[in-house]
Amino acid sequence: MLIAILITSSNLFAQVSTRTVKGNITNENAQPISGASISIKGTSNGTVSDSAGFFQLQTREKGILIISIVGYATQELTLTNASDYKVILKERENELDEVVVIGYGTVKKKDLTGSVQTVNIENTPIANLANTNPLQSLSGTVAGVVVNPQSKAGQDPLSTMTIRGDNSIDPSGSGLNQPLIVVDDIIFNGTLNQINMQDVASINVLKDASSAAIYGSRSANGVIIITTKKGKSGKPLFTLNSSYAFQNWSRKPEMQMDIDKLLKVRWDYFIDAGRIPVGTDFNRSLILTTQEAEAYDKGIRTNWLDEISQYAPIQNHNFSVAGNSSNINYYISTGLLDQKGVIYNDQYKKVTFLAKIETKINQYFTLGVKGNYYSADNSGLSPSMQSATWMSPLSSTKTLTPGYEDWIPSNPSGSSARNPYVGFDRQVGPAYGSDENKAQNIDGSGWLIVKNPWIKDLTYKISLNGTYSHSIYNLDVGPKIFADTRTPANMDNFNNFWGQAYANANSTNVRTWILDQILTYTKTIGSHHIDAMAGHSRDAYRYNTLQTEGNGFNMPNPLKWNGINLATTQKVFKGESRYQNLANMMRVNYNYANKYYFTGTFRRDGFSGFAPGNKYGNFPGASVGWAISQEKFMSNITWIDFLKLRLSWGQTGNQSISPYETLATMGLDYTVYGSNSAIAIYPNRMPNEGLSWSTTTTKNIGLDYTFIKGRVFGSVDIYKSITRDQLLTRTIPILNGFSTVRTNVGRVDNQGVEVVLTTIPIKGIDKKHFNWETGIVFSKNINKIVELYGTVDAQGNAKNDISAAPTSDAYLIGKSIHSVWDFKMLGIVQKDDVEYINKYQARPGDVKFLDYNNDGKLNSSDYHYQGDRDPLFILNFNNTFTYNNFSLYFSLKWNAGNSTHYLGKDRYGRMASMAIANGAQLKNVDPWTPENPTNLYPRAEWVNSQGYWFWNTRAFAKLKDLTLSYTFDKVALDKIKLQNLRFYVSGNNLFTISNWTGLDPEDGGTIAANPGSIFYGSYPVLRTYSFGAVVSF
Amino acid sequence: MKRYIYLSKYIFLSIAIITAVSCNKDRFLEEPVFQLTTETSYSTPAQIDLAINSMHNKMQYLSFSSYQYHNYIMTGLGLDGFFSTTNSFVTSNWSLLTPTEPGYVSHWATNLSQVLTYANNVIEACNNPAVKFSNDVQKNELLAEGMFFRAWSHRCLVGLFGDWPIITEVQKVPKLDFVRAPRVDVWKQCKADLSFAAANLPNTTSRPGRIVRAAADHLLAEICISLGDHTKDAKYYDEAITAASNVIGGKDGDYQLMKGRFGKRATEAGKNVYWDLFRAGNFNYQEGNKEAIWVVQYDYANAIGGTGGMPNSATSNKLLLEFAFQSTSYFVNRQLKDASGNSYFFFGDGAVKFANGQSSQTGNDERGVGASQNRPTNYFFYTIWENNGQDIRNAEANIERNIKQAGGKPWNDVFAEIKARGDWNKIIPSDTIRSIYPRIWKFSTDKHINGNQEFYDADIYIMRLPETYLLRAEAYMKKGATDLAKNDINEVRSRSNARLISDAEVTMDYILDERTRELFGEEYRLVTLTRLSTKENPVLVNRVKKYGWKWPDLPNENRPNIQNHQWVYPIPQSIIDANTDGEFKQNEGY
Repeated sequence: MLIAILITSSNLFAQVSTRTVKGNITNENAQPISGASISIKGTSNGTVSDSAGFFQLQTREKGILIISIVGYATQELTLTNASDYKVILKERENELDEVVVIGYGTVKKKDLTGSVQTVNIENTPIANLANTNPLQSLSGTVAGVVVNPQSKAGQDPLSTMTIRGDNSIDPSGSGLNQPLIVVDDIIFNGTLNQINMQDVASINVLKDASSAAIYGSRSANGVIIITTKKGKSGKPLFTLNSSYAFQNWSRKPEMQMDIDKLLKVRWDYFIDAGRIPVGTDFNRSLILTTQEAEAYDKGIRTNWLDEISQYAPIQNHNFSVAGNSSNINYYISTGLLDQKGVIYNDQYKKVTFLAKIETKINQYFTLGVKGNYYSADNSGLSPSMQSATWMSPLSSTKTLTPGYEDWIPSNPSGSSARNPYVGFDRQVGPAYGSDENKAQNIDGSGWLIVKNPWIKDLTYKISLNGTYSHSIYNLDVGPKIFADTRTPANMDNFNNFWGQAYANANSTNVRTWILDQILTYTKTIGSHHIDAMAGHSRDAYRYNTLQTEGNGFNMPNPLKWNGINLATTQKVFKGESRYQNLANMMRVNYNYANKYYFTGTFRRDGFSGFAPGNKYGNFPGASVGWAISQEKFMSNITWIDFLKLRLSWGQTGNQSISPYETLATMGLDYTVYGSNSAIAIYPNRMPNEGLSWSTTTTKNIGLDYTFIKGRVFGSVDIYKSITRDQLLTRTIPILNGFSTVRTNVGRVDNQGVEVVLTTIPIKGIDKKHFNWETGIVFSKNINKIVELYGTVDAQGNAKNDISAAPTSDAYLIGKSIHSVWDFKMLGIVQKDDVEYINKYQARPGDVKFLDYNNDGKLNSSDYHYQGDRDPLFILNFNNTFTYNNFSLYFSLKWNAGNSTHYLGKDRYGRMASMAIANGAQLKNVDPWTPENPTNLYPRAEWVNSQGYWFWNTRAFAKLKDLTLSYTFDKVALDKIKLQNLRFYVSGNNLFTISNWTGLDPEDGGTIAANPGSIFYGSYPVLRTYSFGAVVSF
Repeated sequence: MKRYIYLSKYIFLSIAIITAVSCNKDRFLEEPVFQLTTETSYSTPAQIDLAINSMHNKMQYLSFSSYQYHNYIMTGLGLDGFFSTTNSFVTSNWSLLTPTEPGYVSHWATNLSQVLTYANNVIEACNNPAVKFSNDVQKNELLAEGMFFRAWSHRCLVGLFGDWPIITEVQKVPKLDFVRAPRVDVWKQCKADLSFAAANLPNTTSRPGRIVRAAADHLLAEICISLGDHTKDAKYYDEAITAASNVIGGKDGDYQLMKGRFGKRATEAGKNVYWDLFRAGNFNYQEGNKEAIWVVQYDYANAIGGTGGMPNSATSNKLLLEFAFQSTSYFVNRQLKDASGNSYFFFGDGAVKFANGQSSQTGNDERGVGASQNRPTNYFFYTIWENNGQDIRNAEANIERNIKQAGGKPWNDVFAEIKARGDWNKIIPSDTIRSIYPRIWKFSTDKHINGNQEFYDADIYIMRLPETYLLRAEAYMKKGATDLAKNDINEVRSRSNARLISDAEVTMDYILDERTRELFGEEYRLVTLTRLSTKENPVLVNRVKKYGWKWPDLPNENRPNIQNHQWVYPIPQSIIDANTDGEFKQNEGY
C-alpha cells in the first residue's frame, strides 16, 4: 500500500522535551478526512482530526505517528524535525478495488463485466515457490486453467496449457489450444522462459469471449496478461532474492532388483513359452544372456534408473532496483537461473535482464522504454528413461571385456536393448554424442502517451515493440555409438563407423514487430461514467532457419558440427516464413451509478495467412453487469457487502495455422532417365483458398460476491463455448490428388462451471494476530464434439472418424475430443474361466477382453468408447496462515477421475514384459502365474497382439505447493538499514495419492514404452524443495 | 509548456490525417512466399518438364517399391498367372477383399489419383497464357505427355474399379462430391486424350523412359478395343487397328520384334533372344531394343546412396518380381542338412559370390522375410506350354526347371540325395510350394553387377511391341478378320520358335494365353481381364476359377473362393466416407 507524504515545512524546533506536531489529513482527491485517529506508536498519546482534517498533538521529539480511520489504510509516519505534516490517506483496498488488466486498459475488479481472474504474485506466498515459469503459478489459483507440471529443466508449459478445455481438435498437438500471452500490454510471441518469474507483479487471465474479444483472432483460447513490476518508493529500492532448491522424482518407479524373483519370472516365462521343456530343473544359464551370466557371477547388480538420475539443484538469483521519483518510474532487474533436471545431463541456464523506465515529461507527455534480454543454454543429451527401465539389473555400466574397460557397453544386458547412455538412432545418448542448444532474445519497446489539449480526458498512446531471437541446435553423433560392444572387433575398428557418423548444425531466428496506437477517453457526467477506447494495431512476424547436415565421414571428424564440410554427404535446408496481422478495435465501458454496467467490444482482424477474400474477420463482444448490492432494496441486508451479476457474450478467433497453408506447395524428388538423374517437382499440398478462422462463441453468466465484511468473497461462473469451423486436417477423397487438407469443419462445445470461494475464518486484527485465509478453486469442464464430417456409419451410429488408430483420441460425436477408443479389459483370464478360454482360444493369464459385438472373436471391431481423458473436475484447496512474522501457504490439488474419466495410457505400468532381458524390469509388475492369480498383470509371456493400452484413471490428490516464510519486523530492520528481509522454504509436487502406476499422474507420464516406439518421451515430473531469502535496502 | 501543447496538437492532427488517408491494408496483408507453389513452379516450359518428371517418378515408385506386394496386384497377383503363398492374402482368399481392407485396394487408387493430379497440373500449366513457349511444337509435346498420363491413370483406375469419375481439372478447393462416370465415358475421355497425344508426342526421345508417340497409339489401340467391346460399335476396332498399325507399320518410328541375339550379353551360349530382352542394359529403345515402347527406368547408382536418385522408398526393396518369386533358397525346415551339416540352398548359380558363399537370397534370411511370397500357377508353369513346340520362352534359359544349388548342383541331384539319405519325410509340403519351383529368369539375374545381392540393375517394361501385335490381333478377331489376327499372333510366336497356329485356334482365350506366354508379369493383367469383363460375363472371375491356385487350406467349395462380383475391386471405403457431399457408389456385391 502506497503512502505519499509531502513535507511542506522544514521549520526547525529546538524544544528538547516536547513539541507541537500538527498536520492535515486528506484523501487522494484532496478532500479532508475528519475523525481519523492519530496516535504516537507505543503510547496512549493521541487525538482525532477535525472537520477540516486538521490535527495537533504534543509529543516528544522522536516517535512514530499512527493514523487510522475506517475505510482507509492505516499509515505509519516517522516523525522528523518538521512540525507540519500533510498526510494523504489511501482508501483501503479490498479485493474489489484491485486493478484488473483487461487488454489495452484496466478496470477495477468491481466494475468488471467479463470473466477475468487475477493472480497477484508480487509479495505473495506464490512468489516464494520455486517456479521457474510464470505459468506454473496459475495451476492452483485460477479456475479452469490446466498447466502441466515441469518435468524437464527449463520446460515451458505454454504449448500444452489450456483454459476452459480444448476448443480445437488438434491431433498433432501443434498448440492449437494454447492461449494468447500478453506482456505489459504487448502481444508476446516468445517462450515464457524469457520472462523472469521474479519480475512478474500479477497475471490476469481473460477467460470469456467478451473480455478476450479485444484480442480478436488470436484469443479463442483465452488471454493471459502478465504485468511486470514497477517502481513504488521514492527512494531507490534494491532487492536481492536468492534461492536454492533441489529436485527429485515426484514419483519414481522401482526397478526389479530382487534377482531371485526376476529369475523365477523369467524361468516361468521360458517354460510357458516353450523355450525350455516342461520339467527341466532350474538352471539360470538357460535363461540369461552371456552378459547377464557374467554380471551375475561377478555380483554386478545395476539399478539403471539410479544410473541415469542425477542430483538436481536449482539456483536462482535476482537483483533489482526500483523507484518512483521526480516523475520517473523505473524498474531494473537481472536474474540468473541454473537448473538441473533429475535425468543425467538435463540442465538449463538462463540470464535475464529487464529495464523499464517511464518518465512523465509534463501533463501532456509521458514517455517510456522497456528492454529485455534473455540468454539460455539447454544443451545436453540425456539418457533415455525408457531404455533404462528396459535394462536388466544383471548388467554392467562398464564393458566387462578385458582390455575394453573404457568403453561404455552398447547393449549391457546382452539383449537388443540399448544402453540409455549410448542410445540409438532416434534417441542419441550422451556417451558418444553431444549437442548444443542455446537461445538469445532481445525485446525492446518504446511508448509515448499524449494527452489531448482540446478534449480533456482524451489520450493517445503509441507503442512500438521489436524482438529478435536467435537459437541454435547442433548435434554430433560419433562413430562409437554404432559399435556393438558385444563384438570386440567393433571396438577395435570403431573408426570404420565414421561412415555412419553424422552432425547437424541448425540456426533459427525470429524477428517481430508490433505497432499499437490507442486512443482512450474517460468521462464522468453525473452518474454516467464512460471509458472508451479505439485502437489500431499491426504486427509482423518473420522466421528464418538454416539447417545443415553432414552424413558419413571418410576421416575422423574431431570438429563435431563444425566439421560438416568434411562429411561425404552434406545437406542444406533454408526456410523462411512471414506473416502479418492488422487490427482495428474499439471498446466502450459504460456504467450508471456503479450499478448498471455495459461493455461493448469490437475487433476487426486481418491475417496474411489466409487467401484473398478471406483475410478479414470480425470479433464482437458484449457484456452487462448489475451490481445488485448497490440497489436500495438490498441496503438492509447487511451481511451482503457486494453482489454483482454478470452476463457476457462474445466471439473470438483462432488463426493458429502456419503461413502458406492455403497454398498448393511443391515437393522435390528425383527420377532417372537411363542413368541420368532429373529433378521432379510435384504439388505436395492441396490448396484451400477457402480456409479461414475458427470461431469460438462464448456465453458466460457470472456472480461476484463479498459477504460478511469481506470475510467471504469470490465468484461463480457458468459458461458455454461453441467453436465452429475447426482448423481441422480432414480426409478428402484421394481423387483430389490428396487425401487430407486443412479446412474449416466441425464443431466442439465446452461447458462448465467455475467456483472461486475465499473465506477468512480467523481474521487477525493486525499481523501480530493469527490470520487464516482459505480458498477453494473449483472447475469442471465438459468437452464435446458436436459435428464433424461423415460422422455416422450405416446404422446411424457415430464412429471413429478422423484417426484410424484405435487408441488415440477417437473423435466421437457427442463425446470429448479426448475419447478413448479401445478394448475393454475385464481382468485377467483365470484357470476357471473355462467358457472364455474355449470361446476365444485364450490361456489362463491372458488379458481378458470384452467381446463388445459378441461375435465370438476379439478383433478391431470390438473397440468401443471407454471414456475420456478429461478430469471429472479439478479442485484446489489453498490456505494461508499468518502469525506474527510467519506465513504458511499450502495448496492441495485434486483432479478427480474414475474408471471412465481422466484415463491415461498405463501400458508399461501394467504389462509384464520383464520376462526377458528386453522388457520393462519393474518391481511392481507381478505377472500372473498359477500361484499368483492376480487380476492386474497378465502372464509374462502374454503378447499384446491387439495393442491394448491398459487404460487406468489418472485421478490424484496432491500436495502441490507449500511455502513457509519469515519476514523480519520493520523496527528491527530499520536498525540495520534494511527495508525488508524475508527467509522462506517451499516445495512443489510434494506428495501424491493415486492409483496410477505410471510416472506423475498430473501429466500422465508413462514409464516405458518400447524404447523404439513413439511413446518414449516422458520425463519425470520434478518435486522441488527450495529455500531462499529476499533482502531489500 | 506551450510548445508541448502545440506538439500534442500536431500529433492528434496527424493521427486524424493518417486515419483518413490510411495506407493500403491489403498490401500489408499480402503473403510473402518463400516456398515453391504451383503458381511459381509452372511458369516456364522447362519447369513443366520437371513436373512431367514427377509422373515418371511415380511410375518408378509404383513399379519398384514393394508396398506389401500391392504393386503385384496390377500384374496379376491372385489371378490366373501367379498367387500369394499365404492364404491370408486378399487375392488368395477373396473373402478378405473388402472395402475396408486396409491398403491393398487403396494403394493404386491413391497413387494413380496422384498421377492424374500431376497430369492435370501439367495440362493446366501448358494452357496457361502466361507461360511462354518457343513454339507450338514445344507446347504440344509437353501437353501431349500430360494427356498421355491422364489417359493412363484413368485407364488403370477403370481397370481396377470399373466406373470412375472423369477428372480433367486441378481442384483448387477440396471437392467432396465426386460421382462415378460409366467406364465407357471414361474410355472416351482416354481416347480423346490419347488421340491428341498420338498426334503430338515425338517419335523418339533421347531420354529413355519418356513417352513417345508409339506409346500413345499402343494404349489408344487398347482403349478403342474396350470401347468396341462395350459399345458394340465396330468402328472402334478399326480405330484400334489403325492405332496399332501406326506402331507396327513404322509410322510412329522404327519398331520391330527382336529376332536375333542382341545386347550386352548376346555372345553367351545357351541363351536366346527372349533371355536377351531381360538383361540389364538391354531394355531401352535407345540401347538398341527395337520392341521397347515404354520402359520404366531403374538405375542402381542413383537408387542406392545417390543424392539425385530414385523416388523415395522405391529404392529399399527388391526389384521386380525376383523378390516376390524366388524362394529363400533353403528349406523352411532347417533341420534338413546336407552331408557337411549345412542347410540346403538353391538358386546359387556360382556367378555371384558372397561372403558366406551362399545364394543370392541370404539377405532375406536375416531379415526374417520369406522371399517366395508369390508363386506362379500351374497354368503358367505347365498348361500354357502344352502343344507349343520348341518355344524359346519355355526354354531352360528362361524357365529353369532343374534349378541349381550354389556351386551348380542341380535340384534333381539334391532331391535324389535327400531321398537316398532317407530325409524325404523332412521336406514338408509347404517347402515344395514355397521354395522349390522353377526359376523365371525374365525377373532374375545371375549377375548382381553392383555386388549387392538385394538389387540388380534392370528396368521394367510397361509396353513392348509384341503386345501391340496381340492388341491388333484382338481387334482383327473381334472385327471378324480371323486370318489377320492369326498372322499377328504368329508373328509373335514365330519369333519364339513356337508352333504356328491356324485360324481356327484364334479365340479370346488363346490370345489371353499368348499374352501370358509373352507378357507374363509385364502386362497389367488385372486391367486386361477387367476390360474384357462385364457383370454378366466376368472373364476375370472365370479365369481365376479355372486356372487360379486351388488353396488346400480352404474348404473344397471355396477353392478358389472368388465371387462373381469380384471382377472389379471394391471402392476403398475411405473414398466413400470422405466424399461427404455426394454419393460415391460402391461396386455391386461388396
